[in-house]
Amino acid sequence: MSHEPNDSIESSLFVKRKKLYPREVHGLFATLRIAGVVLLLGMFYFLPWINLNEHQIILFDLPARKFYIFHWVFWPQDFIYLALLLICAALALFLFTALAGRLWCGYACPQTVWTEVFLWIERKVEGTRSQQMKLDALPNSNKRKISLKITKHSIWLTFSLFTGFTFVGFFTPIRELYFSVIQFQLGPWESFWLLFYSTATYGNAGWLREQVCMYMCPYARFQSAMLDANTLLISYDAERGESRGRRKRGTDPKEDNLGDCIDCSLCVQVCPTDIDIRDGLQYECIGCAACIDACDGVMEKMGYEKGLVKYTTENALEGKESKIIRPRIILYSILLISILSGVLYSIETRSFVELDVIRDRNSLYREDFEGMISNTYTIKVLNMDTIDHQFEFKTTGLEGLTVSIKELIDVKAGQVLEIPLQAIIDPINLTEPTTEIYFSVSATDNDKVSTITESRFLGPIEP
Amino acid sequence: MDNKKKRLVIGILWPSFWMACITSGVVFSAIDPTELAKQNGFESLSDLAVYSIGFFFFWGICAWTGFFSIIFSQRTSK
Repeated sequence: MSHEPNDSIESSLFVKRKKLYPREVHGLFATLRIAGVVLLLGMFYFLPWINLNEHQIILFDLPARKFYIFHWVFWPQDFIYLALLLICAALALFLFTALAGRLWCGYACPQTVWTEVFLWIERKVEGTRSQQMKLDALPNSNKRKISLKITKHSIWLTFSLFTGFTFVGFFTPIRELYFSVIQFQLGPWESFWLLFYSTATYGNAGWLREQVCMYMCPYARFQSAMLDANTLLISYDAERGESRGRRKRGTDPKEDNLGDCIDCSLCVQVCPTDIDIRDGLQYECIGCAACIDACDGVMEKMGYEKGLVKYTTENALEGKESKIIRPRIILYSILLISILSGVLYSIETRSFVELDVIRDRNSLYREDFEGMISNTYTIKVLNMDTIDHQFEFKTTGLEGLTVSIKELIDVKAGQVLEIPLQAIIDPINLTEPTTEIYFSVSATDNDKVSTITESRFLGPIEP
Repeated sequence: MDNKKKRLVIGILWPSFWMACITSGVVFSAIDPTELAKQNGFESLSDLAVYSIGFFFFWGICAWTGFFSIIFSQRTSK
């Protein structure tokens, strides 16, 4: 195995970054992305302020180890749902990547969404792409430059701090958090996480931008493995576009042997990762479709047919038939829908009570002076519902067994009630050294909130 | 710090950050931080403090693993 260092290649992959000034773009896909930004950030910033059943609608209450999501409450023992949800997320990513490449990156990834907001702020303060470039070319002592930069970074920082605050608000009730912030009484850990997330937002969306996608994102590295010749990707129709070149209005480009590409370079100027889509599929492409919007605008002005850059498949570009609905798409969809509906069904129908029975480890059984046999247990009743319940407690499986606790027990919402229990029986009722017995609890107001747990009763019977 | 070192440091810290997130999630869904603090004589620590310390602990361990992977993948001097 060769151990020759490959520094020349490596360093060429990490050239010193030049600042990018993605040009503002309008069109169908820009509108879709803005809709995504408004929807996702709207959910992020507003949901924590909405209350449902006296709880924040989404609250990951770490101290109480309870997750409130809509009308559901999740406990640590519901961890399986999180695992299943992650499987669903992975399947959805496979499905959408196989269908149309990096849809996630272009429209829904937090990096894209927050960068879009930061770019918007930058344009509001510093102006268009060319104005920004001119401003940056000015010396750092320029007063206008200083004041614009300070304004931009102050707005960015304020926005980042609000983002960090909202993030912490998903873990600590946001209204209480708000009052601690305005009274300067924020705890050290809350302050730390608030600043941590704010810094991450400011750094990632303000400074790093496309570098996060190019160097830090694992999905960017392996997504190409999920593509095939039938995947819809943003591509330039070279056959139609070449040879590219500028032309005068009113002349027939065919006479000059020109294709439809007028080489205006708008597709490069709008690209947030600074690639030229005309060079073919590149790993830096995040699938944002800004180049489609830019090119369609130009084609419209030129009076040419739109779609010189468009979502198309490799097969279609090669003139073959492309099949969008294909076995892997159907398979992913079926898997995704069945797991997702299974998870939802199971969440909706799960029991909100849990009963743990722990046998006393110190003694197998005890015999009192009357000859009665007793076993000791610890009963734990966990009410996972959002309302208080009264439970009917029952013991079955052994005739003549009496227990030391009341038949009706009250457990508050979210409470774990621990009760010691003694089960007593006359030995004439025992036939085996070990008998299986069943403890059950059932809410008196709702018989769906019930559960049954198996345990054993031991006695002095020779096998 | 030159560029190559910087890259290595980020290359260690970034994946281990994600691993720490996942590990914290798994571990703290099984272990109650209040109990954990009590058993180790740190009753005064809040739950959020235990979560945070746990997170940094996992981050550190994962980064340590990454650091060793890099060390062992480097060519030894002859």
